[in-house]
Amino acid sequence: MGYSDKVIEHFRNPKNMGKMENPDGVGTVGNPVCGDMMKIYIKVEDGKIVDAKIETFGCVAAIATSSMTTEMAIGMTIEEAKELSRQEVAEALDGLPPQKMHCSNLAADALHKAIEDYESRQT
Amino acid sequence: MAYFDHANSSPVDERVIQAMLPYFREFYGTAGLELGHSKDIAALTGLEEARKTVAKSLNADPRAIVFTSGVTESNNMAIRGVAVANKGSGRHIITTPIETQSVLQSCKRLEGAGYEISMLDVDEYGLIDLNQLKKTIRDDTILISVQHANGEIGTIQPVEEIAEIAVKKDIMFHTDATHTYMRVPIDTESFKANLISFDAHRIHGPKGIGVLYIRRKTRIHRVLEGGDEERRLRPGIENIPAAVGMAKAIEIWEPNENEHVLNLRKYLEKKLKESLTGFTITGHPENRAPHIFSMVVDHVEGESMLVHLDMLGYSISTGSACSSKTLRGSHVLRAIGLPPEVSHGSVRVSFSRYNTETEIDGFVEELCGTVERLREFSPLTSGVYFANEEEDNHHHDLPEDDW
Repeated sequence: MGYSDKVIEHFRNPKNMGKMENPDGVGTVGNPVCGDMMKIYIKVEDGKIVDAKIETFGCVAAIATSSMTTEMAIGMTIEEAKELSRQEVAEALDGLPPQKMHCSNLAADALHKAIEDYESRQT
Repeated sequence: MAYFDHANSSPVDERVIQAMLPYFREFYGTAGLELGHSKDIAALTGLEEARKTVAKSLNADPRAIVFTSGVTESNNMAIRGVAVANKGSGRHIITTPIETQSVLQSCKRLEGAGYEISMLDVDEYGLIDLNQLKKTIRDDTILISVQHANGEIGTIQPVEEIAEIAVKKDIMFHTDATHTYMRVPIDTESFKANLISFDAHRIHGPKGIGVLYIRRKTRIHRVLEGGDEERRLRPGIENIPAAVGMAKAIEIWEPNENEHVLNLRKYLEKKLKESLTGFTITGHPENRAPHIFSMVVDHVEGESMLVHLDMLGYSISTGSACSSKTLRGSHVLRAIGLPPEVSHGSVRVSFSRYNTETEIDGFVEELCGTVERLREFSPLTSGVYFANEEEDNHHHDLPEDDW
């Protein structure tokens, strides 16, 4: 399949999957026509992401990057999370097959959207 | 654990391997000369006996059997060979959008060389309309190429009727019988196709060997240049061990085998209806290759299902775009009108003599667990569709191939 052991491990036991009650921010990316869709929920306290949950429709890479992104995001400050890139998520998973880098590795974008949503709620 | 991907490729039967081995170790000559040394004569004898076995399976003359490297080559030769040989009388070819890539790409290449290709419509089951076919035929039509059964959804086309229409108009008819050979009876005395493609590795024979059946008086030209092998239609040293293996695979085919796989398919359908929710069977409900089951599952993606089931020891396949290197989804599922978000959830299960009902029991249990688990965190389950209206350009932003 060309997936790293780490990708398979995150696919086998994905972390932080599912919905969140009363999130502070929500971000959705992708659409099912393209085969990948993610909806991420964040909880923020004192400028830090204290919890994250994600719902994902998609391939192995989509599910593994969802899991990894939420794991990385939890504990980050909002400013740090804004800087979290898809590349860093892919690297943390020991890489992704080239064709999956662009199409399924969307969770970081979803996170950035959730942060935008969070910030818009603060004003 | 079970292997359910026999429409992709099947394990080589041990008896086939045993039949092939002497052609590596002892009879390693070639079949080019009738008056060669004893090694060549032994190889030639093996090849010609294999040819007779293949011919008999189609009720054909052995001279109609041309060995190739597989269905891809057979299809290329049938389409491009007929196109070249008939260009004096016309340049119009009729085919369907659900053919295998070797047919579609051969047609595409001809299109670039001044031929005209007409694509017939297919209905929700993948069936062509014979009336539309009749209307599409023109004075300059030289070839009709319609597959016998579809490899992804199993639907069988009315090839006998197509052959009759083609014969009346003196148009060459080619059919790709990859998924029906040995599984659906083909008698070339009554079925008047000019050209039939099939291979060995889906019937427990080796890879690297296929056949193009060419009816007598078919107007066809070779596509490879070289020596006198295969009556100059397919030059190059024949893959003799593989041809012998193919013949063995045909010889050991049991009369009840097709009934066995049909029963397994019906058993799977019954079990799924009892225990899985949110799925639709694709392809024709009755008129289909006996060993191919196909469906789309709601709200989950095929590659995820495939990899998850693989971890549990079950091999299946999917037409989901996510499982292909190019990320292009199945052209077959698109042609039968399934929207992309539905075809992403496609699953194909294909059987052989080695599968059992017990394997299906285990598979259905694991499949239901897999689907349930993936649906648990699928945003589509709660009806969230198209939340993002923006263009998702990155989905088609494929990296350039370094080579």
